[in-house]
Amino acid sequence: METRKHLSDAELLQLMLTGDAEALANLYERRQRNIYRFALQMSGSTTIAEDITQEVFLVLIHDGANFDIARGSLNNFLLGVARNHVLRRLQRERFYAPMIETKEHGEHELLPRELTSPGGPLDDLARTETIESVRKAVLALPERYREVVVLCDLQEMSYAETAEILGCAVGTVRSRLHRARALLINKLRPAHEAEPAAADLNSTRCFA
Amino acid sequence: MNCQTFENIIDSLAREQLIETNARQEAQRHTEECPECAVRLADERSLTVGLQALAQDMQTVEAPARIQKELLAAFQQRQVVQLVPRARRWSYLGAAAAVLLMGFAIGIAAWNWNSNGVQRAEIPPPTPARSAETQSSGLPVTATDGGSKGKRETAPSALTSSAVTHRHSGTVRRRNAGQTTSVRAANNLDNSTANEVATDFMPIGYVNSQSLQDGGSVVRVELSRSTIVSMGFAVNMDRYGERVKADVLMGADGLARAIRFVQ
Repeated sequence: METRKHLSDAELLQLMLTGDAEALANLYERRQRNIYRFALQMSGSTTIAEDITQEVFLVLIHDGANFDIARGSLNNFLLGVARNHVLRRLQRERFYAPMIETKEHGEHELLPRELTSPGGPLDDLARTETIESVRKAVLALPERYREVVVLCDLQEMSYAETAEILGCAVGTVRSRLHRARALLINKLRPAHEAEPAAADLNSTRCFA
Repeated sequence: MNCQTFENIIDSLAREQLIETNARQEAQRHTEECPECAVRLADERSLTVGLQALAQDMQTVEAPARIQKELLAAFQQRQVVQLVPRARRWSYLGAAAAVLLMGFAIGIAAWNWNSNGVQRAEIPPPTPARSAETQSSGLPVTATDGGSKGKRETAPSALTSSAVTHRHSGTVRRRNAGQTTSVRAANNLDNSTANEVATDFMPIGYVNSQSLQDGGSVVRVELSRSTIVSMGFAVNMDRYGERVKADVLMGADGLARAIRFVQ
């Protein structure tokens, strides 16, 4: 396995198509994390993420010969397949998806800003809660916005790579990401900041 | 720089991406002059920190090892299938097609014979509708049309395929003011259901007879093979893309109690 580390994904795929099981194992080792994480971040379910990972590699086993290197990297191809499977699965299970908890009036949601103010014994707890808040906020995004956040911000892919996976223009990725981030900020903002201060309004009226 | 221009590059600023030095300096000056844009940039930067923390948190996450094993097994199985000589595969296909054609021909002949024979037969006036609701087994029978999707039946009293009985409304036509009746359907069985082969009901999880006393329903579904795997049944992963018909026995609480597979 060590000797194959220098081989590219495409070369490993060719070996796999000739019946080399070790090549499949190499490809799996290289790419399964990205696919599993993408599916998990998109769905929020480990069961779905496991299914999707398995299905993506089964597609590679059965239809790997259809992969065209000229159209992009194998990683992007696999993520594109994963994306199609995830969207199909989410659409099928829309009515069964667990409800995302929404913040109630007056409930303070942790801002990621708190990550930047270290100090104090509760830092780890705050960090964990913040990560959980961000995770929930990302999962609550509409799918078209969620996928660009997952690919660009969580998987740290470029706009061009994301556009290749989603099959859209780079400009579309940029605009969707901009909109998605604005939605995330709104979701993560504490309730008392999101609504206009009632006290200010009252005093304005009194003095008017 | 105005607020609109600032808004256009705020993502790149917050995500620490490469932008022109001039644009960065102008944006810096703009945030000093415009408090709203300064707050907006601070929010964006906080969000970036949060997303980075989430990404870092999931850095070590990976798929369970069993998936790799299953994939390698499927891969090996596929290789074995591919080793079958092409000519031999054609002969298998030919044999299967011949069997299928023979079955179809026999089915057509049997259907013709049944329909002709029954139309000639004179049968006594129909029994009251209530008597048709039960069969000799004495089990309650409430199945609706067997061919339609989303049909529901009441729960059988035992978890066997024979316990689930079907009633199909054969078309009854009266002649001479109810004196003569001809029945179009021979055995009150829909063709689609008559051709079905079903396994016994297999319990999903813990099932006892008391859990079915409150009633329930049998629901026809189509399942993906991955779902069947998640229930703990072994499937042929080489045909992973195909869906499988099944009847799911639902308890009164809406939980699946048992399943049987239908072909």
